[in-house]
Amino acid sequence: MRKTGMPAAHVSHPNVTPLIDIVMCLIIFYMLVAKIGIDTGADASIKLPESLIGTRITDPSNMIVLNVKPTGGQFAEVSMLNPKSQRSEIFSMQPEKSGQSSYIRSDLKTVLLMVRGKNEEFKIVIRADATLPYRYLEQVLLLAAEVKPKEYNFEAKRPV
Amino acid sequence: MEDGAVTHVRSILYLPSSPLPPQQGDAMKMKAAQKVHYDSGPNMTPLVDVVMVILIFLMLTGTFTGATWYLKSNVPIDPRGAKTTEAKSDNPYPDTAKVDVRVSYAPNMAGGGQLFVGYLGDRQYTNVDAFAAALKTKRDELKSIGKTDKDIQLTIFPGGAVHFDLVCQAYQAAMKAEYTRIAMGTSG
Repeated sequence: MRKTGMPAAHVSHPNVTPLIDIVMCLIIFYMLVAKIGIDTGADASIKLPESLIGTRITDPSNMIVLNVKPTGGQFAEVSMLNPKSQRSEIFSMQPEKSGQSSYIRSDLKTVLLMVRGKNEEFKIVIRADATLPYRYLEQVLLLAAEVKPKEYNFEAKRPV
Repeated sequence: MEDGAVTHVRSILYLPSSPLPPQQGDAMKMKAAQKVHYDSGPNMTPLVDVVMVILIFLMLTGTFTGATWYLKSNVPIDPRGAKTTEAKSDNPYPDTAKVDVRVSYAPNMAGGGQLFVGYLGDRQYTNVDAFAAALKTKRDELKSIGKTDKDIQLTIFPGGAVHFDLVCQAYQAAMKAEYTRIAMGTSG
């Protein structure tokens, strides 16, 4: 009998097709839920109040975010990301001149008017800590009213 | 017989994929056909590596969309007693029915912080749901006399020391009562 050589053994490799399918699903998931490179100037240290109902903003391009914090005194501090200069700016709501109302801040008003331009869809988003007394927020609202935005939005978080 | 044997062998080793029918000379090819060729396909390892790198990049650089939403106030703050921010000529709703609510607080003796106290007219509400129900009743009354949602303006006047979360609770009560025009007032 003629001996025939044993055929070379076939080394089975793991089937990577399901692995690629799962990894592709994960990539699509992260691409859809992640926000990359979007900086609205929101101050992450502010603990937002909770709200069971609210609306979503689908057009973030026409809005500016104002972070309102107490300073320990009687005037609020407002921080924002200037979309023109892409720099974070901080303003105190302390009156520039004695005898003026606290909300007459020409520097902040100038910046807001510059950002607003002729945009009729300009919106202001206000982020304030849940324990912030309203008198601080009132100062910012009175100033922002002079800029005449289309609407205000108070940011709140959904309870877990 | 020999021809029949050759024919028999040919029929066994005839490969269906061969485009040509068995011919003379195929006997030489039969040996070669015994060497089985395994088609391994494209190498998937680099593809998996690249995909893993992309995945890790997205995991590290992305942040999940925040679970936040917004309480919309479409009318600027109304400083009663001081200059108005909205000139009469700008008001497209001259027949506006105004609903003013005040928000105050009671100190929370148990856990600190503040407890909600809302006022609609002379009535006081310490429960946000009851407050929302009262607002809804008020809205229904106005609608029964012909006012539409655009004609009803609700303004919230919080006290100066009221925490922002209580203001948001009043806001939520107004949204539950289905008011569409909600404004903030001054604390003075």
